[in-house]
Amino acid sequence: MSHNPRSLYDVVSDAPRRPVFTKDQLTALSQRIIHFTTADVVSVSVTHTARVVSRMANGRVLTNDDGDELDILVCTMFGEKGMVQIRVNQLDDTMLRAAVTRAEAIARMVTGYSEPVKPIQRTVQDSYVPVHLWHDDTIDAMTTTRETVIPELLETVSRAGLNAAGFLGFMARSEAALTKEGIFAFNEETDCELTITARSDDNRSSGWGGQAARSWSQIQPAAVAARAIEMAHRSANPVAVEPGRRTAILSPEAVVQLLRFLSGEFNAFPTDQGGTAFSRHPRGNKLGQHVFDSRLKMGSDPADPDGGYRPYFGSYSQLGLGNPAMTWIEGGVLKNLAYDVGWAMVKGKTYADIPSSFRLSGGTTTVDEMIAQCREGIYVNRFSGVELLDLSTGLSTGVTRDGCFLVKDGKISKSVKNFRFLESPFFFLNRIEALGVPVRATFGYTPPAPTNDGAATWPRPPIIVPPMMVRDFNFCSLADAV
Amino acid sequence: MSPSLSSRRDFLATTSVSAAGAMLARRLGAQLLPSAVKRSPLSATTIFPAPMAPAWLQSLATTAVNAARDAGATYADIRLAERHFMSVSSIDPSKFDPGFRLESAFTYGVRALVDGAWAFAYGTSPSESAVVASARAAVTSARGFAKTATRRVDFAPAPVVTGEWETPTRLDPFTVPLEDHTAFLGACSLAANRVRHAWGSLGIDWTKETRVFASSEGSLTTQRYWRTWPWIFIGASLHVGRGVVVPVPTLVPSSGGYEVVDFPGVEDDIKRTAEEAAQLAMLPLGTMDVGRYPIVFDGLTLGATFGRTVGAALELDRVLGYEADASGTSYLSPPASMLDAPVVSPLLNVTGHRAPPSFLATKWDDDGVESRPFPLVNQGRLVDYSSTRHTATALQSYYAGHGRTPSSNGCATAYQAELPVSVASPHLTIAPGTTRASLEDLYKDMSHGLLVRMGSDVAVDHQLASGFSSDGCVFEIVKGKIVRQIFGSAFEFSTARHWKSLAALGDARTTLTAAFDSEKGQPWHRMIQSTTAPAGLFKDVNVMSTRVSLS
Repeated sequence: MSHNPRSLYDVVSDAPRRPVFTKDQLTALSQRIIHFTTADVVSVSVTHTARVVSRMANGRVLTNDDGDELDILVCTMFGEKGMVQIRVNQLDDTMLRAAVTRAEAIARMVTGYSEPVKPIQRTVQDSYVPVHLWHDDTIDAMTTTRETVIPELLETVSRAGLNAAGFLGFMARSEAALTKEGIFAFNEETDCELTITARSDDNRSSGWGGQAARSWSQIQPAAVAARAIEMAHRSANPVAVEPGRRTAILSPEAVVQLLRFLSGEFNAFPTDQGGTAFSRHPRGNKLGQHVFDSRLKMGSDPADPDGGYRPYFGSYSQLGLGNPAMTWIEGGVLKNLAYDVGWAMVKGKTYADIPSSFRLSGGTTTVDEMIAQCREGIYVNRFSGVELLDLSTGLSTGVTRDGCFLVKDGKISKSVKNFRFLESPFFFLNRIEALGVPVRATFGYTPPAPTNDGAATWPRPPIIVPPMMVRDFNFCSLADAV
Repeated sequence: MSPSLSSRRDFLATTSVSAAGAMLARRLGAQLLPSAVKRSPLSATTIFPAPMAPAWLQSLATTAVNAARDAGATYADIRLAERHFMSVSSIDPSKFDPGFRLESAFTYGVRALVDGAWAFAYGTSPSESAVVASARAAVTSARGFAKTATRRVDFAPAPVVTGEWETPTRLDPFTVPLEDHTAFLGACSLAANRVRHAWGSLGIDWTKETRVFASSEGSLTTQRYWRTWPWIFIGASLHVGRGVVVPVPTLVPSSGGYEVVDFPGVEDDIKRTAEEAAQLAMLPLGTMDVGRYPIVFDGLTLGATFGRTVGAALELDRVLGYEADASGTSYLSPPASMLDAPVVSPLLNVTGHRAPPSFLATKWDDDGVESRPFPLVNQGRLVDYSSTRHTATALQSYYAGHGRTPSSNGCATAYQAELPVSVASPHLTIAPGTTRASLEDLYKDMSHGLLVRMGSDVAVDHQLASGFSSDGCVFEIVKGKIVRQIFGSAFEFSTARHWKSLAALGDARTTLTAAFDSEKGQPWHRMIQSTTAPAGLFKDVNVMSTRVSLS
């Protein structure tokens, strides 16, 4: 890797078409930075992310947005004073050295917390769950796909008499972490997402389809377009139906919007302080208690074949610790909470990161079978604007969109106006009538909510959930949006 | 010829420093506020790299757009920025333990238009080769899609502009000694804590940015922004798990420097706010039955609710469907049906502008268009939308009918230079009522209703056609008096009906400024919205219960 200031575009791997640094390049960079430092405690993490994005609207390409970002985080500490972090995105040795020197000057001045901070220093390298998050076909697709796929998609939606809006995004990331003691970790991953919103010219009906995967080979653009078109056509002429508690048949995309705040509930520290739905009052938590339907199992595994995630902790205080596979819920019983390293030591528990990525077990009932079983209910294609109202109960609200239908006597009967809902997973996951096969559910446009749902940037960590039929889902009012 | 890079290497690092829970020096309570803040070797400027010379930024910018034009772009522009950020905070109300976060970054974003197709490329490397590579990459990318750009991009004309501008500022906060920053927060904390049952959660975010815009049409602007975001909240709590949080009304997100927070009487403002919070916290707690009630919103709640619903619905890219797969569409479309029609109460007159001290104040927007105040709503009728050069031509026939040429209203915004340009709401000013009416006057005749204060968060649907909020401090009004603090309730509304049902506005004394985050684009990126609005009375709002129990 060059030590001279050059364009970031020049400093990439010799491997053809690889848009981010290799393990060797990141290792060398991390070692150089460690070499510059003089502090007692030092850790370096380097992340290089490349994104290729196309946006569509009104039946045409709106824009392509492409670029890459380098993020270098150096944490330094002298003795038991406060930790100082610096963030840099330049590669030149002179710049890096100057930035580290400035940070160490501040670190020497820092008087620390009210109590001394004992840094966690480790000398034993953790082992990590083997993962396969990088897919070369996604890398190839970054430069070969969109000029063919997108025109076909736009043409398909247009032939159906609808306007297409959409998003095709690819991401590649490589990251490494290194401590002064020699603890090292590396991860690389790819991800891609395709979403289409198809709307009628008069804007009175709208449908949506989407898929997300780590490997482009798992994305079927034609199927995405077909679903959006079907939902849009079926959504024509919606009628108002009385709000209230009804049976809901929820697609995986609807389920994932309802469950995306669940990860925060598993955080052991606020739970033990009485702040989450897994808290027990006046004190304690609900470990070992039945909290959901007994058919449900929820787990997180870095090697999940449909998703997966980085197999080690990234936060500076736990850098390089292996993130184990965890079972959170089994048979509906709360089996584990997510203890960070410090709280785990206090409580004598296994540490694990909060489950930003997880798999919820399902069953074998197809959506068509759920509809056939349903005397009266509402099919929901997806939700939007979902916000958590209360962490201590999991209560959230949002609105249905892009496909909402009345199911009557085993058939989809008619399109209905959208609903607002008020629900909590701690309620509806105890009212399950049927479960389907879990799939990685596509989030689509889902910016972070004011209450942190663990994913500030795109793409969101994979969540694998089944479609489900639940009774007495609270569709509390009608919503005017189309 | 560009300046020697070797002399600038020390200055081009993108650096952020944070000292979690650290104190560089502390003079808690030693003096209330620095009486004469002076430049000091212990200020943030000594920690950051020396600023990049504007001439160098301008050179990079013109090099980029020239490269794009040479590669075949019909139009190209670039936003380059060097940005310094400093956050000082003490969040835990139980102890004063300030922390700092310091960041410095160089970023850029270049747009190219080729045969009717747009592309955007961004980067962080401050070199000619990097910006040229990005410019060429954008052109190549756009050319690849030109054949699918079946509809021409109509870019509204705008004068070529050159010049410099900076936020009117009295004192650069980055030159203030860091120990004085902590002393100020310490004084704020003390002022709050001296009031029984009250506490302060304190922080200030300071941003200083030099942003250069260049276009292939010949525009070249250099602007220096100072932005200050105080998040100083005073709370009081008597009941476990329930409390009142009140922002200090004179400490609002603004463009400007240290003077935004350091002004005569700030300590008294904090003390008064703490006393008010403590008084409100002494109210008994209760719940509200579901039903329809008259509700008074304070200026912060009314402004934030308006901004998140009507304000966002007036962003022309949403109206035109550009965000259909992203943040959504707009219930205020199509423009032909909405313009000149009554869309909100005739009590409402709304103006958009980007003048100081609004948080995103600027002279030229990120299309290079000079920003001027413009009316959006006139006595309840819609008269314009928030627009950019890319979107303004959609209103051509309306403008022609009013003797105007289609032109941008100066709402192009890339919140950070490496982000794509979007239509962003300008600062929305809602004119106060013309008859004398304080906040108390608005509810004094209420037999049974609610008062909502400090509510800034509203859950909206994808068309902004409805909203739902359980945010803010909610008080029950009985026979014109505040009797209880309410928890476990939310109000819900249909946007069009809600804003047409506005029954009264407070006068200028009730005016408050709100600033809040929103998101837009794909992948989503942060946007900031701000409003200045009076209090208002709505006669009939649906109140729902959010009380649930897991036991």
